[in-house]
Amino acid sequence: MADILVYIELVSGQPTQASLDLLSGARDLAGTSGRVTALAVEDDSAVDTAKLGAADRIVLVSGDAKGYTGERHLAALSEAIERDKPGIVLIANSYVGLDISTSVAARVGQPLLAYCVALALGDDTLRATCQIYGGKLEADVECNLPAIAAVNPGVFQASETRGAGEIVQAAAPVFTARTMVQSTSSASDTGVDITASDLLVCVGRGVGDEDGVALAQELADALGAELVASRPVVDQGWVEKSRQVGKSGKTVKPKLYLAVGVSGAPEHLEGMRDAGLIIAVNTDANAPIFDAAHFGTRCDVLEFLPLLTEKLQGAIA
Amino acid sequence: MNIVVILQTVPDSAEELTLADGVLDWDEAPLRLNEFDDHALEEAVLAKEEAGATVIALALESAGDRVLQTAVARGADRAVKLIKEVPLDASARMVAPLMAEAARKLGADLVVTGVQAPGDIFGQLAPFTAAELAWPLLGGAVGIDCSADAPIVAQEFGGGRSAQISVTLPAVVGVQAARRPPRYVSGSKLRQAVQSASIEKLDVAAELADEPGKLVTLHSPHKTTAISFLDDDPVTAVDQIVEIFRQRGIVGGGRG
Ligand SMILES: Cc1cc2nc3c(=O)[nH]c(=O)nc-3n(C[C@H](O)[C@H](O)[C@H](O)COP(=O)(O)OP(=O)(O)OC[C@H]3O[C@@H](n4cnc5c(N)ncnc54)[C@H](O)[C@@H]3O)c2cc1C
Repeated sequence: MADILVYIELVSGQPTQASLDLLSGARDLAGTSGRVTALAVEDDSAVDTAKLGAADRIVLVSGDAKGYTGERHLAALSEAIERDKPGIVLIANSYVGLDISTSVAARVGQPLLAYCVALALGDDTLRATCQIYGGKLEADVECNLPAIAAVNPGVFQASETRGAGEIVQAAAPVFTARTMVQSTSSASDTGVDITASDLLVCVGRGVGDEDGVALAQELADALGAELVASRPVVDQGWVEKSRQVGKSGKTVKPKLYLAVGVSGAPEHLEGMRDAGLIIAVNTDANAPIFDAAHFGTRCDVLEFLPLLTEKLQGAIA
Repeated sequence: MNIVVILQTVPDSAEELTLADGVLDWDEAPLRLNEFDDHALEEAVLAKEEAGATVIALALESAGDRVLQTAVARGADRAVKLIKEVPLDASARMVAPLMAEAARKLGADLVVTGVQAPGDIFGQLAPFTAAELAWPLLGGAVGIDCSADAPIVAQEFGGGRSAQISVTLPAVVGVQAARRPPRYVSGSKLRQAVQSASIEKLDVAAELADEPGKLVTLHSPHKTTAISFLDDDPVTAVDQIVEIFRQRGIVGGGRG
């Protein structure tokens, strides 16, 4: 079996959940004979290695830099690949993963399979199913080993781990820095806390314009719910950023998630797939949101929204 | 400063995508400008307006002239069509050497393009192009401030985390979203661009890179949840939803 290197993404020294999930996935994939290495690039916080017990070996790349730069992590990961020659490198398809997975594949001259939702190892090959076209299609792909896979969040689940494996300290990578962190921020936490609400009405681009958003707001008010939105609706400036759900927004787990005019792209589903009850309204019968929803209707949101608002106002009055 | 914006047309995933023998039927595929490239163009034009720059829109010949004409109508100074026979389904890895050579020939200080395209199974164009050029890459960008010598790129990391990163040019930036929505182009402005914009042709010597991975087949996703479809008529659907709300205590009986 091939040895697997897992790139561990850190936030203030803590491995992200997606990285821990991936580490457990690597353990299963490697079987009993393959060795799993977790590689984390240190910054100015101490790395919590206790959580990395699924790895046989933990490589900590030295550094005390403030914040993440792609070029430093790219150099560290490339050096590790060239030194350790793993059969497979797994990277979580987070923002950082999106930033470095392709770059590292190009740097070390290996194939990359991106947006993987399933992985299987052959003798000398890696096979994967990749989620593309906003989740509307899946591609079965394969490549020869050694290879790199960028794996979507939620594909694997972290399991109980034994104690931490051997820890190896690696030297800081050698590279000429052309980027420098000027400042970092972790707060979009002004405004409403949508994670605290049990009932959410989510508007997607299918509502058309700000008038459509206003109709959804009326429905949210009638239901006693908070209004939330997909990224394009926020990028349009129709709804504030603190109400965005998904990869670059918030992760929510309400009792009810009523999605109107939302296609259900993987980056959106990442933020709401665990809602208790998902109801989707979308004219496209093939929209991926219907794969995550419990109930769905293919009617036009602009007809649907005022009707439901009116009905609820009547029901509640 | 020269900002080269790479624009790609891609199958529109909001429309029906037809498969033929396990691959996309490109003859039937409705094509549109990759939405992240649309934001990249807007960010480049914003940077030009704020700090002064020449914005050069670059597209493969197969993207068609309209994409480049629209870019000019939206503020690009030059429009360049890359002349090379490229299969419609060529991956980002394959076309990156062409884009890199074009960027060099156009004297790019900064190359901007979308952070991803919807069919990027084997990786994205911005990092492959950066690797070809041996320039630094900044992905997930939500703003580029070119007013200083070393531009400052706002990079997003999800979960509300972000950073301001300064970069020594030349560099490649993968844009997630522009600081403001891509500007609307009126029909008259577009007609004007169609009549007046001259589209330059650029030949490159670089060859398409080999694809190290193989697409076996494309298919619809396997369903993971069993959805119950309600009626397509909104009046009936609304009645059904209110009933579901009642059963679950969401309305009429207090929230559960
Ligand atoms: C790194 C990265 C991070 C991202 N982070 C996020 C994130 O945090 N959150 C997020 O949401 N997205 C995120 N995205 C964007 C994501 O890929 C999708 O582009 C986005 O989720 C699509 O939003 P949408 O569903 O509103 O729009 P679309 O995909 O355009 O869907 C609109 C839907 O409305 C339907 N529709 C149209 N008209 C009607 C009508 N009259 N009635 C009913 N239905 C109608 C259409 O059939 C379509 O399915 C991210 C992307 C990247 C690359």
